[in-house]
Amino acid sequence: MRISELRSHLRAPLLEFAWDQWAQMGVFATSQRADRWAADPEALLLFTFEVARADARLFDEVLDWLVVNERLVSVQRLRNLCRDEMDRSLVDASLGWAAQSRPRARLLSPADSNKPRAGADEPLLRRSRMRVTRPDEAFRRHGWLKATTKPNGKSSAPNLLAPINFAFRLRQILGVGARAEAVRVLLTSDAPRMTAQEIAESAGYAKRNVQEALTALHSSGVIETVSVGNEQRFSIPLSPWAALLSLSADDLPQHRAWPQLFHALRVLMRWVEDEQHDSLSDYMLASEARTLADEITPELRYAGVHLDSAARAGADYWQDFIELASAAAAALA
Amino acid sequence: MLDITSNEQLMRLLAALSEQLDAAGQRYELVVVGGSGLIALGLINRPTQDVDVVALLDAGRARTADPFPHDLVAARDRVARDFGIPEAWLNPGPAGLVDLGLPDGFVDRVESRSFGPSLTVHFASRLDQIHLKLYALVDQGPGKHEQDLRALAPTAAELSAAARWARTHDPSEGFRQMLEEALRYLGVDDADLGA
Repeated sequence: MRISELRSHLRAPLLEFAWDQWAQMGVFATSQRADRWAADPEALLLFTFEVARADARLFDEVLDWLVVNERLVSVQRLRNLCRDEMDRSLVDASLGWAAQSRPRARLLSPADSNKPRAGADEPLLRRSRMRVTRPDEAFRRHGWLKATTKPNGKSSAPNLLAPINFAFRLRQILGVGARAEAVRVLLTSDAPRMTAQEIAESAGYAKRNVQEALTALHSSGVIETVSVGNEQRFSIPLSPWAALLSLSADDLPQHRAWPQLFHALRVLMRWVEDEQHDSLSDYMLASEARTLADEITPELRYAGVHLDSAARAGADYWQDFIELASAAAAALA
Repeated sequence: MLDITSNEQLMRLLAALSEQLDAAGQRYELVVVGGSGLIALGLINRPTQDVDVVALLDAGRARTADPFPHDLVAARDRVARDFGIPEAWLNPGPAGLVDLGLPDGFVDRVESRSFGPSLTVHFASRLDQIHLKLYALVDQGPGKHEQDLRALAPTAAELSAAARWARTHDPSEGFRQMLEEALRYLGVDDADLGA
């Protein structure tokens, strides 16, 4: 499989997944899926800002959703989950765009008060043949060339009773912040007890903030703690919490390591979409792919993706990489 | 442990090194001696464990290869990773020979192979390999060095010349005696080793 084929091979299921998730979360679209997992809204936004660069309609519908539901979104958490400058510029541009309709200080970054930067902008949409005649100023401030669009207002609030929207439901109960995320992680994880660090890795807030939230929840008597050595481990009594939410403990949504999986997939897609790779020799393509795989394999494994350790030598590694990329995409199924 | 068992395998590794250097915008000329050099020139057919770089060639002049420049190490290590081989597959092990002095005319006799714009490998000639192998045989004992030396089928004159060069590295009487013994072992009884 050539890299151009791998591009298509990955792009289609990732876009389909993103559409299906957002359709269940209030974007104007239909989905046949009723996922049992709890979505991670900010991690999904970051993922979508990347994969939707191949689907203008998805990008615009998610921006519309952001305007309608911005109160349910943690801007701080969205920024915390950014891992590189590309993430940050896509997030800041999207929040800046939303701020044009919802003027709120929390949506703006320092760059939003500047004039559009000079120099060439990168087209937001990959391989688009449409010339952008009226570029959006919010995106231009962050170096992106995107056609001006307005929110279409078709998005709706998420159905809080759907498992996928569990994070929003907890935010409505506990407020948008570390407390709601810590409870989400504890209620959905299979692990009977977790350290503050483990919870923080999924909660998307600094360990200090998560520790404070856990301490407050513990002192309120709604989570439990045991000390193992000099390490505190936290657990949550499932039945009372499930009863509060009118669920049985078995009906609580499933946990997925979304921040890690989505980051690995973002990095993967960015690499695969980079047309500079098209001109590499078979060996250099495999070598570059191996470097990328070394970077994302720990996160994929953390997210439960099964990957073989054995690797072919030289240019033959490309086949291993295709299998890794396919396994990563299949983790969304 | 890496075993380079064929010229094809060696060429694949060096081509990969060339591509890595090219991607990093670097260019090197390596002077290679030892078993891998003999394999490359089709002079022997035994496995070897590494590629010994005796020098880097810079504007036609040999300069020490030890330590390897950082970007050469980076490229070498990526090749090692990509092929699942030890990082020392390419090493400056014999680089000290440059300080002690290579045989006269060494650089003029090398056989060069270009692996693209970023890498040229200069393999020591048969005559110079005879020099180096005789020295190694006396210094380190028989085994692969004897095997290689016999495969090179040196003449008595070539061995004598090699012995005279080896003495410039170690002029001691003890080394001279060991050289004479080695030469007799190789069938040369009347070598002129100079004063």
